[in-house]
Formats: sequence, structure tokens, C-alpha cells
Amino acid sequence: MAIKRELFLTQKINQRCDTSMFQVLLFAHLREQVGSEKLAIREKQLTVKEFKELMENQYKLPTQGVMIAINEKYATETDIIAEGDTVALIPPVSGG
Amino acid sequence: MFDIVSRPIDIGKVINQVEHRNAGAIVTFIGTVREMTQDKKTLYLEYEAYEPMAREMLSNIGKEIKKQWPGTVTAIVHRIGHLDIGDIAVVIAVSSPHRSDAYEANRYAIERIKTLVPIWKKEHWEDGDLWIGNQEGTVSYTENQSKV
Repeated sequence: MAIKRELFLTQKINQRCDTSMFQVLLFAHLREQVGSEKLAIREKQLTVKEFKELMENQYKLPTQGVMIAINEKYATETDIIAEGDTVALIPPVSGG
Repeated sequence: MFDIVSRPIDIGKVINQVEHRNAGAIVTFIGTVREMTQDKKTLYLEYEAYEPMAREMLSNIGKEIKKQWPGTVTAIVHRIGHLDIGDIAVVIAVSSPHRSDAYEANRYAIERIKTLVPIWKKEHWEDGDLWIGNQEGTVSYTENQSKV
């Protein structure tokens, strides 16, 4: 029993080291396509480029022309998304 | 004053924000909801924003303007939600000691909003609706990004 518990804890710790949880905000047609304003994602630490690939492949969200913001600032392809970050998909804007 | 609001914009209040003793000119831009775009008739618009980021970016535009045109004061308010034909979507007021700076800075502000600030509009027509900015799917923001 004790061994099993230890193993479970180890796995849990490993999992925490490997993956990070972050929130993704969706707007406009992307929000409508998903049917939700938010996604919670548990993934390995990702670059913005990798994140866009994940959105395309797993969530079938088009990311061409879509900018990524991390914690309310526009990010570049090589920026890293870390635990607790708020990521937003910003499709081409049309204010004014 | 840099704000995103969901109620009608009070133009006078936006202008009041930029009035001061050394202003020799105030230029105000008022963006309104147009009915006809070519031969398509708009019934109403729906705006949405990533509000905290949009506010921050409007305020950054104000800072850019102050740097580029010293002596100017800027205020920008954008409305979101359901807007009918003729409703005011955005008000930009810029004051400056001399008129040319206020004109130029005001133009700069609306162009920056249209390319950079996370606000989206959905057109509603008699025969459907569409989020604007996505018609082509080819708009790239890489150029704008370097200017942030």
C-alpha cells in the first residue's frame, strides 16, 4: 500500500514537472467555432510556434494570420508559454 | 481616458479629457456604423474585445502619440456590444498647441486601432453574418508586431 502510494506521488510529481497548465482565451469566430471563451490546456512547455501547431492539429483551429498574446502582450513565435500564463488567440482585428 | 465601454459614448466627456490651457486645437474623430458597404446592407453590428488588453493597447497608442507629437493629449473610447446604424463605435480626441499635430496624431490613432487593438466586429446582414477581419484569412500581423 505504502509503495503504491509512493509510486503514485512520484508519478504526480513527474507529471507536474513535465506539463504546465495554462488558459487559452478565444474571441470572435474562433470562440464561436469552439463554443467556449476558454480552454484549459495541460501540455509540455511550449513555444508560441508549437502552441499554434497544437491548436491547428488537436483543436482544428485555423491560426494563419492569428496573433498570439501571452498575458495581454503580443508574443513572437519563439516566446515560451509557461505554467499559469493566459494565452489569447487574436484573429485579425476589426475595431474602429 | 482610454476605455472600452458597452454603453453609448458621451462625445463631450471624451473631448473634455484633452482640453487644456496650451491646446490650440482639438481634433475629434467619430467612427459610426455605416448601413451600406458597396451593395450590402448592414442591419446592425456586434463588437467584442479582449477588454484588458484592448484598454492597455489604447493607452499605449496614447503614449506613442505623446512621444511622436510632443505636447499632444489623447483620449480614446471604443464601444462594444450591439450597435445599430448611425451609432458611435469609437471617439478619438487629440489636442495640441497647433492644429497640424492634432490632425496627424488623430489619424495615426485610428489606423493603429484598426490594425492592432484586439476588438472585432461582426456584421449582420439580411442574409447572414460574418466576423470581419476573417474574410480572406490571409491578413498577417507580423508587420504590425514589430511596431508594438
